[in-house]
Amino acid sequence: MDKTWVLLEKWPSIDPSPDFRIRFWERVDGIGRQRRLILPAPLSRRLVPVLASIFIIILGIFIFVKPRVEQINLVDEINNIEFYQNMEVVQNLDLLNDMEFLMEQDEYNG
Amino acid sequence: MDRKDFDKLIEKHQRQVINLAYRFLNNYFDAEEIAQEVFLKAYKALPQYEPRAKFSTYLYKITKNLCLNYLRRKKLVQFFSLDKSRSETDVRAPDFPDKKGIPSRNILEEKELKDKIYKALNKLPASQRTAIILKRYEDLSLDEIANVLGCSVNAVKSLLHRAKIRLRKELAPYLEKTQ
Repeated sequence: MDKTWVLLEKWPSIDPSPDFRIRFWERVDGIGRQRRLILPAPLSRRLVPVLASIFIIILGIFIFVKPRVEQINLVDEINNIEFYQNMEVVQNLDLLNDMEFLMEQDEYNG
Repeated sequence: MDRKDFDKLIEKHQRQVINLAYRFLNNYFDAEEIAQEVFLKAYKALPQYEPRAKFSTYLYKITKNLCLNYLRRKKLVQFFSLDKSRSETDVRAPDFPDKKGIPSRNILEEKELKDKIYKALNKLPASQRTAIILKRYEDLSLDEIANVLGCSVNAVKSLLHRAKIRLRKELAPYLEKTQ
């Protein structure tokens, strides 16, 4: 067990940079430049392709899926129009019969 | 407490705080940034600070919390990132090349060993890792470690014991080499 303890010692300590305190007081006074710890620059650069891919996928959805939805809506609309037209014919069927009867009468008389 | 007094406190504790952060992050510059944040938090919280324990214990507590938060966020960012190659061995600490500017074999071996120790420590659960770092590198008493972790002394003993067993397993090949 002691050997593990000794091996850990092989990781040496470090010294603070000489301007550590100066930088601290600059930060307190709001003039210090603060490094971004949450998203270091290389990591944020690596996020660019991910964000670009997400953007392309969203764009793809708009380009390919939306026209299909519109097409389906158009078919529905045509079907609706045809339905109402048929309904109109059915509703006016009596009138149509009357008209046919009158036309036959005209032919007979004339 | 005025600026001069706090400056003295920084001078007294900066090395311990930076080294504690360094053991968690294995990165010199990030460790310095975390240390700056630690002192800034302590400075801002001074009016509310009630000395129940040593000031150093208070600083260790803040350091541990900031480091663990930072590592969590970093993991999250790396999860969404495409390039995973620079994850754990992303060490920008000043390495010590020989006089010709070429790292000598010993230094390379030392660096490799250091990375292995870091990786082995990093595999431990946060509480075990914190306990072992505070004990081995900062030489804190069990009471102080218990204070930093917010647990009992017996719990600290158990954490240290389990951490040592796991480390012995992880570092077994290197233990043979160093014999």
